[in-house]
Amino acid sequence: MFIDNLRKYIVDSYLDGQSDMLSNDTQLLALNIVDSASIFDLVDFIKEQTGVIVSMMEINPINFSSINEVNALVCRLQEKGA
Amino acid sequence: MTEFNSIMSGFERSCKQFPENIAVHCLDESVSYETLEQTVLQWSNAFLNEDLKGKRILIHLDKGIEYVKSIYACLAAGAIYVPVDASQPIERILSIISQAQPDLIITDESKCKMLNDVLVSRFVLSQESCYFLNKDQKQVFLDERLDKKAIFHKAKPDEVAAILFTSGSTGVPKGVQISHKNLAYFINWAVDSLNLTQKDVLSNHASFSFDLSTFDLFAASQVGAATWVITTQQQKFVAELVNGIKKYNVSIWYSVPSVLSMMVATNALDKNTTSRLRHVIFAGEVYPIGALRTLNTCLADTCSLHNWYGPTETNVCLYHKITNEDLTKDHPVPIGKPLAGSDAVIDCDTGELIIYGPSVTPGYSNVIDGRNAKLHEQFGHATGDLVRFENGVYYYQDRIDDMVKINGHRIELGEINACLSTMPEIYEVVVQCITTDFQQKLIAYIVPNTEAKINTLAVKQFASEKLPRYMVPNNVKCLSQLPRNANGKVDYKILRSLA
Repeated sequence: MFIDNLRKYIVDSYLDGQSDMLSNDTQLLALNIVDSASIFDLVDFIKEQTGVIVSMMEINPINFSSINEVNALVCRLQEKGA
Repeated sequence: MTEFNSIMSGFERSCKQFPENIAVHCLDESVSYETLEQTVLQWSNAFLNEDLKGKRILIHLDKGIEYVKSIYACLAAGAIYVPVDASQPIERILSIISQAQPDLIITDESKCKMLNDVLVSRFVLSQESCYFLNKDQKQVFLDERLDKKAIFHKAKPDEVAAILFTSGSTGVPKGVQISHKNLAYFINWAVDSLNLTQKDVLSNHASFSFDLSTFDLFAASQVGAATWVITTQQQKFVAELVNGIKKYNVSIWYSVPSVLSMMVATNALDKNTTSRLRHVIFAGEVYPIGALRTLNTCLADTCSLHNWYGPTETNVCLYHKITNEDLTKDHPVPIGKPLAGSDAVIDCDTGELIIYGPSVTPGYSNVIDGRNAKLHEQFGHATGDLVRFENGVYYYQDRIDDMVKINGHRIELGEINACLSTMPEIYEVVVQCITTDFQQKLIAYIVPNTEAKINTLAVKQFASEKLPRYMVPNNVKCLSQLPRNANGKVDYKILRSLA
């Protein structure tokens, strides 16, 4: 599942492997877990994992605010492309 | 003696000369100079009736047109505006309020509720009407008090126009006073140097609590040009920024480098989008040379690039117009040479850049800085920046102290230390900024109290409730003790190796 891989990627890349307290609704940007530069790493990760290309219009703080939001974005874009 | 050409006399001139020109664009609203002037005079007159001339008025609003009206109304009444960024945590806003000691707070109905415990009169903006809410909670509506005879206050050069709060090393935000002379000197220089006209449209990306915003607002209003105010929500939406450049025909862009880099990273900037841009100016931090080269390829040939330098205490004091030759070098572009009328001196013992001139602050409003207190009296400021001088221009090299810049935000590591030290689970903490080729990261090295378990997210959560997002550490490292050298001082070299 993409959401599990995404969660693991965030835990490994930005939280030194600590997954306690991280929920899929944890605020990634508000807590500076992901900063504006790391959003582009997430865009690359999404492309690598799912083949989905995130356009400029979709790169905004709402779509990257939590694991659930990123997952919802990917699902939306996959449906669009299907 | 010629009359002092204050920024408010320039604003008044533009209101008379170009009443129909758009002064401010924000979201789907555009306001002409005539309409702006009417509200500004109405509010400033109300402030004068409240005896607020020369007093401090703190503005706690979301970024938008009402914020701009508030700033001008304060200045028109001869009051000092103290801008706060409403997107910051309420604890920090309360800390700034307690340091600023304002005589009035301009706010809206939703934010007013957050300030229930603050015993300061309010001027509340609501959809229906504006009203004063006095300390005894009595509402006085504005319409009853309207006096159309109001005139603009004629500021004297040494009067304070604004107090901008920046990060303070002891945990207390520092209020940098900006005089009318400081503003007029910089703004008049900028208008001439960029040859601004009433046809220009200036972007305003920075928060109003950031000194960059003084250029965006006041330089535009000296010549009857427009300012596009980018809201806090829009600031990180690349598509909104790029669409706005096209929609409003932006001709002057001024921001920190990271915002420009973000637009470049999404391939959103191209020569078509930037065809109307005459000048792109960046300030607040070093622009990595490779990234700057890429930006240059996205700009139309008619657009010039500028690097402006100066801490809040001096606003812009050095400038450099970037040449093709600068872009061929493998080091960052120079911070340039002083504005006419200012002097830059390198301290021969430390290598620190000291600035002298009319742009230097008269001092802090709430703290005494031993190093700078005497210098400020002589219109001098020790910047804390180590520089070198080569071929007639200055180059930034490093900092002399613990202050860092991340995405243009000035951060005193001591302020983060002071905040985290109050977390009950923490025994000792040291925050460091680690810079790599690609980014800067704040790392908190923490020694927990005996038996306390520290979780990275818990530390981030704690910090995010008290500090702006850009001051929340990126990473947290738990240690059993801090590494120390033979003198018992924290060994930062060892700490860095643990990052």
